[in-house]
Amino acid sequence: MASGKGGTGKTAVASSLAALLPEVLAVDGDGDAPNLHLLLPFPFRESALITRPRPVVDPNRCDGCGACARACRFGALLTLGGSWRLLGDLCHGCGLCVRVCPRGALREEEYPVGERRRGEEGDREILEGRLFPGLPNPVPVIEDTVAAAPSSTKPAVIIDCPPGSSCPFVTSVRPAHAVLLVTEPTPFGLADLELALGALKDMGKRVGVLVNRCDVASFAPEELCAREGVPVVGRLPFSRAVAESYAEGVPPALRDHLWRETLTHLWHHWALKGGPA
Amino acid sequence: MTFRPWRCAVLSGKGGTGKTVITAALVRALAGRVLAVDADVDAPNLSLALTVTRDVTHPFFGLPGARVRPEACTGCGACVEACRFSALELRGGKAWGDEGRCEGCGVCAFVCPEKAIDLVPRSQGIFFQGSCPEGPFWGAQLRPGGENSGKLVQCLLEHAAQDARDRRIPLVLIDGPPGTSCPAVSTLGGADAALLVAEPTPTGEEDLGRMGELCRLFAIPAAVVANRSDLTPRGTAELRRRTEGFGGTFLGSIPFLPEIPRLIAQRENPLASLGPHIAPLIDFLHSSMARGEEA
Repeated sequence: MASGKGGTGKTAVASSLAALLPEVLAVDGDGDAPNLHLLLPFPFRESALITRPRPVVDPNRCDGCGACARACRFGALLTLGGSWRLLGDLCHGCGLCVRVCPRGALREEEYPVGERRRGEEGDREILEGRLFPGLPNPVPVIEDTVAAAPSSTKPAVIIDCPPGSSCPFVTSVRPAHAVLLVTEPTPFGLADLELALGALKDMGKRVGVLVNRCDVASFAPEELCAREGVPVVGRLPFSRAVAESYAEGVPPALRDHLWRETLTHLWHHWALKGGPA
Repeated sequence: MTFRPWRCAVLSGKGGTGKTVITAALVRALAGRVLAVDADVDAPNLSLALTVTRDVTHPFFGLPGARVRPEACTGCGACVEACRFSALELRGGKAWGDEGRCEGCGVCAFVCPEKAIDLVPRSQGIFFQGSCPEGPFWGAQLRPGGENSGKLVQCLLEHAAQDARDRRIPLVLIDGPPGTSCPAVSTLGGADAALLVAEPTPTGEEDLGRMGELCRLFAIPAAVVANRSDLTPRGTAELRRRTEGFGGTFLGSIPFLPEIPRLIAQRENPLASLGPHIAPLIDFLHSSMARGEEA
């Protein structure tokens, strides 16, 4: 479940499908704003730290030559006046500094960047990755979380993806067989849908579009979808009851029969139709 | 005394709360005294709500990425083993680089015994200088699937702030990206204050809390407005509580206005509808701008 534009209803749709279908593992792939658990509040049973490697210095070996700082392409290392300093937020954990150090003064330690949690209630299951506050890069957290999905016994996985069309989005959709883009018929929705379709272009995914609040404005995505060869697989009108359901933390399909019917139909006749690629 | 424009970022944590519509209305209300920036480089929409002409477009290069010269590659696999981002694999006995995964660290080029890997510049998008009837406009567009959105935001905001200084425009108003990671962090890094647009839903409240904590971490003063405040029976009590929690200022509420999507679709000014509701926001910007000019 992805969108390009934020706030189009990804999480409402993902939580609805996961609430309706016991065969589904719900995965929150929005590492810096994981919200799926607010609508699927299954108690967390286990958690694991998500880590990235970071260099640490042995001050007895470091002579401040600066080879590591010159090699680092992210500008994450400073060697000023013989002292060594890491700017942790800029470090990508690539390990080049350790390799270039002529005195073997650097080694790597795993540094926690987030937490992956698994929640369960009855036959329902959720997996979420959460970037620790203030850290800039959610990609390792998203990568770890979507990679953990196959450890579940569930035969199907729904990933609630982050908005946008850049690296976090690409990371979260990479393991998917099919991508449902939830959009809205406004100029913003249409522009961002086009960007998301552009990012998906060469990824070899089956893509479908769900038009949410299809009656609020007239920027229908049909023409764009036809041009891109992507089907519109569902339409949902604006509903105050759906907005209220979401505001109460209840997946809208549990309250609204049109949501229930549209989404189960879409799941069985579009999402599962192609099967795993 | 050097002239220093005051920079305010409109942010939210959660996407789709109404940042862009509110930014556009504020730009219209402050015409002549504002420079508008769309820093949502991943999904830029502000120019759709204003009438923007693009004057000068600049390419944006991220870090150079790995490119294998197949004729020099012996297929030893050293690069594949060294790459932490799974950006290289062996295909038909030769290393092959996946540009979408490459972070540009250069480990592969360092370990390759044949020196068969070059690091080549990659265009990651554009940024541009333009204008709208209300004043100068700066925007950017990351290549779909692109990297370094934070760097592009930083570059965009530096250019925009310089432009505002040169033209002696007192306010830089920045339409920010959703989320609280790299592009949002970079947006805060180029702002003097944040205006947070929140929505009274469980997810909206959670994301406001996270955004507010980020502002506190960066010591950026934050003001909060609740949007579509009457669409849910929850009310704004929880949004107010969270705002207090991170030391922000609660400015007020905007009700759900069903005509807004249509007005935006027709590029009409949403100000007539929003006007009375955004008056506290305009007061907030005015008083902050005044303080900035005195400083």
